[in-house]
Amino acid sequence: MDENVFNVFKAFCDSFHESVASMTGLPIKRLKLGSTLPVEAPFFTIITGFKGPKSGSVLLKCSAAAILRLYAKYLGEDSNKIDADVIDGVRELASIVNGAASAKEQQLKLNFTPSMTIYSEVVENHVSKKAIGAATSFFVEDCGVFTVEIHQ
Amino acid sequence: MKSEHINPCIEATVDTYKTMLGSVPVRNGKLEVKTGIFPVTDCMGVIGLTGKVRGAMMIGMKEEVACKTVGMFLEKEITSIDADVLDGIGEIINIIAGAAAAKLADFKIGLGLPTVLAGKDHKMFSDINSPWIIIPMKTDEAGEFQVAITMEEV
Repeated sequence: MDENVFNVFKAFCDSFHESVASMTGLPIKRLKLGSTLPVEAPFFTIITGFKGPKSGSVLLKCSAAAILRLYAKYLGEDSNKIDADVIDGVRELASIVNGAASAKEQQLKLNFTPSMTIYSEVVENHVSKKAIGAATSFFVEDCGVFTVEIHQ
Repeated sequence: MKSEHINPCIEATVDTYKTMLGSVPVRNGKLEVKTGIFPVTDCMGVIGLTGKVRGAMMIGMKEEVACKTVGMFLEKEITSIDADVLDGIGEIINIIAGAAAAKLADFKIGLGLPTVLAGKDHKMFSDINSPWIIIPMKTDEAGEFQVAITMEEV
């Protein structure tokens, strides 16, 4: 893995960890690079493309239940259904993480494409043979598993 | 999103299918504008667009159509979704988006990395400010597919 690829990956993972810790104050267990936990279905996949010295995509995956619990912790309001507010919340979380990653790696001058949010019972995201894919899962206490995956 | 963004994307799709697959796609219904929550197809390739626009292009189709389409691309028979099919879908959207970017040269469009998703019963969420334009298309040889675009000038 070259230095830029590693720095981009680290920036997104660090940003997720710091952003969620700061939003919720909850303990977060970060698995080592390449280790992932299954995300319970149905789940969200938020895909954001980026372009800089390296082009790629960052995918944030989390179950619907985990994001509901995360926002209950963040906003102090319980919600048990996926509605426009929750979806906005998911997109906002991705936006916060991406913005923080970009700020960490300013020399890479990352430009982001609009995020796409996919909600599905079953989905496989495919890493092209031409790309390097790496993922790490985070276990956010009382919320569940969140996985950050980067393809470059 | 303007018509001058959409037509080059349709032309790019037709050109790519003609050149790479030896098949001529035709429109298969009216354009649809989608915002909010909407269902999308089983197998889809998406690619981000940057430059003087921010947006994305997507190609989506059912699994059997994906197998036939990539089979035509690779000139071999494929009967089930595998890594080659998913790579092929990523490559096709990459070529289509590259051709569209060339036709929209004034916007100096840069392409992201294609992402390919396969599964069942996907739903996509779109911001009210970034509607997706869905273009239904089909070929006699492979079947129905959709090309979709969201694009805003920056």
